[in-house]
Amino acid sequence: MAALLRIQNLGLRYGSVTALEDINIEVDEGDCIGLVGKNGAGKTTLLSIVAGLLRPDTGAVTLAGPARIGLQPQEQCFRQRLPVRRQLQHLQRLAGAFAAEELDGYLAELDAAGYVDKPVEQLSIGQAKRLNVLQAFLGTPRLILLDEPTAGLDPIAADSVREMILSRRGSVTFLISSHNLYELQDLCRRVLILDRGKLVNDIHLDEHAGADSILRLQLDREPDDELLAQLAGLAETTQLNRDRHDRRRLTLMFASDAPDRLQLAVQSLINDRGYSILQLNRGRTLSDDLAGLK
Amino acid sequence: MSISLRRTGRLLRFDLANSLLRLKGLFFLLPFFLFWYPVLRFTGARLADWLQQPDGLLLASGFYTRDELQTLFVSHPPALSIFYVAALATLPLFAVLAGLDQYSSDLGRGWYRLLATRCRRAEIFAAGYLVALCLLGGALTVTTAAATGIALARADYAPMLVLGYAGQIWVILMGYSAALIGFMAMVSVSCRSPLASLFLGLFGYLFVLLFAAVLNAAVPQAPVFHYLLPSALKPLMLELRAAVLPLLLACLAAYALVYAGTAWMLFRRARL
Repeated sequence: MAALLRIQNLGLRYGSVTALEDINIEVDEGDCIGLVGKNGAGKTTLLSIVAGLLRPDTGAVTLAGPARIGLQPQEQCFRQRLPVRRQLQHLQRLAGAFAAEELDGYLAELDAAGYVDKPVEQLSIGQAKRLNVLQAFLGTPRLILLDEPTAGLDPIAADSVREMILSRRGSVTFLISSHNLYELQDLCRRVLILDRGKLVNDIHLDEHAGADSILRLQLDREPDDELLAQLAGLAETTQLNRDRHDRRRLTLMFASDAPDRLQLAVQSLINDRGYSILQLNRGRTLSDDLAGLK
Repeated sequence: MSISLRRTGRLLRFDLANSLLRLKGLFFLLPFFLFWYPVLRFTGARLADWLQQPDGLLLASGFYTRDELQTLFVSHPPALSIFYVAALATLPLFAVLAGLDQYSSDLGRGWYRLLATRCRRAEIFAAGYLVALCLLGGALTVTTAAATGIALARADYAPMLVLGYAGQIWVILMGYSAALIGFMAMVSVSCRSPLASLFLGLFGYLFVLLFAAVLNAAVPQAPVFHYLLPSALKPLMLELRAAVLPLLLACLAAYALVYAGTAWMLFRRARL
């Protein structure tokens, strides 16, 4: 796949604060890439630069060919008193392709037809957010930038947005900033982790699928030191962590050629000590990759 | 993406069509017509009669030179001249009202974030400037036409003279408006709310006027500070000679270019 978007040595400072530093990313056509990081990590700044809202201090953003970009900003940006439909039609016409069927189709996908004729000042935050996401898709852009597309939406609306993305993944390139790790794992094949303006990790989630060297357990009560010592003392155990907020939760990292056998051994050990396992999950998740940011 | 006249035109038409629902329209049009309606309706014709009497001319001589009096109230229809001098005096205020929301609301609320991926910044900027100019120019055209109607109805000057004079003052007022809207473009780009833009525009204009007057008084040999604002061209605007018109319009265009050019430099670097 040819690179649609190239970001080279991108940097931006706000006075003494480094917003972005030495960012280098290549995005292939059809990719669906997640952006994750703590608040203030630079996700919105990066999307703003790619969309042309901000000028970087250093570096360049190159888009291959005549590619139109769709942007869903974090806050809704419609004019307050005009009916939203009129504004959406105006945005469509600016992109050079007004098609009532296209707009109606998106309205149906997001179940927003019932209030699109109202001005934004009469809509709830969730309703305005749906329309904010919708406008990014108008005019069939090649690259769509979404800044927390499901934040503030009810579960059904959030599902609809995810469906919109999934159904176009492959034909449209997405760059999605989100704090919802499960959502990113569902939607994206690749996730970029930003921390204090720097790109600290570039994860291909396909690799996670085969990396089942992590065991997550929730016990019925806080384990005593002896159980912890026994779990840590297993030959295959490489690391044992306890959750800071819920002391019943353990994360066991191990290196083993027979993970199934190890899992059974851990379960037996715990049960023999008189504990019950309330929850057990195996596999690597984005949370593990973000652990280093704490 | 290259600059497109089609997109600029579309931005312009959309904003003009919706301006009555927005501050940029109402905040200007209401005061404008509330001021001009009584001026034209009740005072235009009566004041013109009075100015043709010795008492009227004597009072007017306190504000204008002899040559200006001759030009305005004797050589040209006084009803139109009254409109003209009142328009020149009030145009800076109405330009502030017409231009205060060229960009500030949309910068503050983020509307341009939705436009920026569909248009060039230059198109957005040009459309914003042209909308304000069309609002002010359109309103001035209506009032100029009304004043021309009053002058024609008096029938004390030949119709062709009245129409020619009306055309001349209309062109000058349009040029002056372009310069003043350029000034407000600088102000509006610097603010993220129309209220801030209003205050900065009003007080900024007054401050520069005062600043220029003080500096001119301090350095009378170099009246260059006087030319910080286009109001310095008022003597030329009151000459009303055809030979001076091209120079006057060129100067007003230069003001418009400098102000709007500065506003563009700010806008192209602004965080949307």
